[in-house]
Amino acid sequence: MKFKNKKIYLLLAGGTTLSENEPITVENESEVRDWFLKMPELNIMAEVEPVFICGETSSLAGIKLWQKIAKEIYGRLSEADGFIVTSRSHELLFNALALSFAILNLNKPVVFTGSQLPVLAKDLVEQKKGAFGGLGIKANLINAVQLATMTLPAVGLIFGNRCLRPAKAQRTGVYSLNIFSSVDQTYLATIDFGVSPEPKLVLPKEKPVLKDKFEPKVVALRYYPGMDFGLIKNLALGGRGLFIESLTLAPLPKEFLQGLAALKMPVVIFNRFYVPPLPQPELMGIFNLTKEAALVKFIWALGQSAEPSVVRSLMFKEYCSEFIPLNVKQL
Amino acid sequence: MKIYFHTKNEDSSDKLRQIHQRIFDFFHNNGVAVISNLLDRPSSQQNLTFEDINGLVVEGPGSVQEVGYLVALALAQQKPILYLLPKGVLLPDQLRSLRDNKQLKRLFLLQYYSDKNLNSFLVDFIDLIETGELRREVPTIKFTLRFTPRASRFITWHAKQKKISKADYLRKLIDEQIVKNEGYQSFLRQPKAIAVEPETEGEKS
Repeated sequence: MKFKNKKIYLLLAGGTTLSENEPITVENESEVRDWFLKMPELNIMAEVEPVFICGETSSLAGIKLWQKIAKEIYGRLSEADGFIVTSRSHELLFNALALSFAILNLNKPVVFTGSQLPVLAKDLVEQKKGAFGGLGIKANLINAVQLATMTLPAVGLIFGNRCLRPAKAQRTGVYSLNIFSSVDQTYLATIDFGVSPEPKLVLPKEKPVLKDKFEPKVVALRYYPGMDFGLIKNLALGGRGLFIESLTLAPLPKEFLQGLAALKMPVVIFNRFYVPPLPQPELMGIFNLTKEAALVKFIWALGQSAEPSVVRSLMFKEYCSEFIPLNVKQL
Repeated sequence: MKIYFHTKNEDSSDKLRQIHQRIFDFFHNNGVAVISNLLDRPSSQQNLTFEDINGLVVEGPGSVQEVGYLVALALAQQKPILYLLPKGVLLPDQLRSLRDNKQLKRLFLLQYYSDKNLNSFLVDFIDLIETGELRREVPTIKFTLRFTPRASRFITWHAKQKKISKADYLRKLIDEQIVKNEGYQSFLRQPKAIAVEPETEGEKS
């Protein structure tokens, strides 16, 4: 019985620990083959080809890693049916968000996943064995392969028994099957005895575009009552943009806002729930995104242009379903 | 014990539906809960996931995409798989490699079934789940032995009750004795050089 297998690229960027009993990881490219041979199950489902990005303890992280992932995927879009990217669990959300902005009009599924087993904290694994039970990468990868073979033109993040958009994801667990939850309870797919995509996603009409420039000099901090503005001014000196998280439902002091406006750089004032209208047009009040989505989007928008008006227009345009509807119950 | 039973649910003939019913009945009669793509799940099973089941049974070639996913998930979670194909049906290419993989084939039980042998394979599968190994190897040694009419009546009756062949029933009895018999188990653990095959009467290779 001949079947044409779907072609899936598996990009390895950490988060590769197989299981508690088989703590094998990929540290360098020469280890990929042996690691991959430990999972012959994957090729039952699709033709899976691994691509080495970086090792488990590699220092490659942030913008350079985002750009490498984006380029590797963009260059293979025409030949692949889907992509899987493994990541270390602490940076997985940022990597997935960055890719959500770096390739616009994405027409193939790109599924991020990984192992929850930390490579460096082996004693922690020993202590938490019960809670960690079965949280290696194998089951996540199998679910990810299944999802990557479907018509799902989006970036997804799969852990445990659900897949969600990175822009809607919030880390809600450390030692559990599902470590991410959707802030507005929407999921791309749920998993029980099969992978069931929730919405029917439409393929974009335009061709995919690579927009993988990000601004590395962004200062991000959290406001606390009575915070000294002089401190922020000094911090912001070498930056090209300032991202400040305000207190929930509380406006920043008037003088503080005036000081921020005088910095002459794009400034985002962020709160998940609400930011009151700002009298200073230089400042952008953002409140209908997750914090991680807002920050990565800001870093990306500044990479596209240094012009404040362009940054503003990019920040207020939706690219990857990142805006959380205000009328839904939020996490 | 819970198993997940998957089969292609479209274009099922009456005969195939009877086979599926036989599989459901067999597991039900043996106290095994069955979750299946053919059955609506009661509320008590709504939150079950693949992690909660003890084994996977697939009947027919079905959709390779869906079956491949279930087989892969079962293998990754070290759950035994009984893949039942009607005689004469080809195994999908993707699954062919499993039979040659030493690591996986101990969990992957591929059987070409007929009306006569279906129940035997289901018995074997429960055995595989319960013991972690398939103790019934392929029988290649032929024995000719005589029973009393009384013993014969019992064997016939028992095999009928269990819906397995008389030979399968006897093989199963012996297999159980092999595991239970401590003396024989110690004998097996002796170094090969001093292990001597027991003499058998009436044996024909």
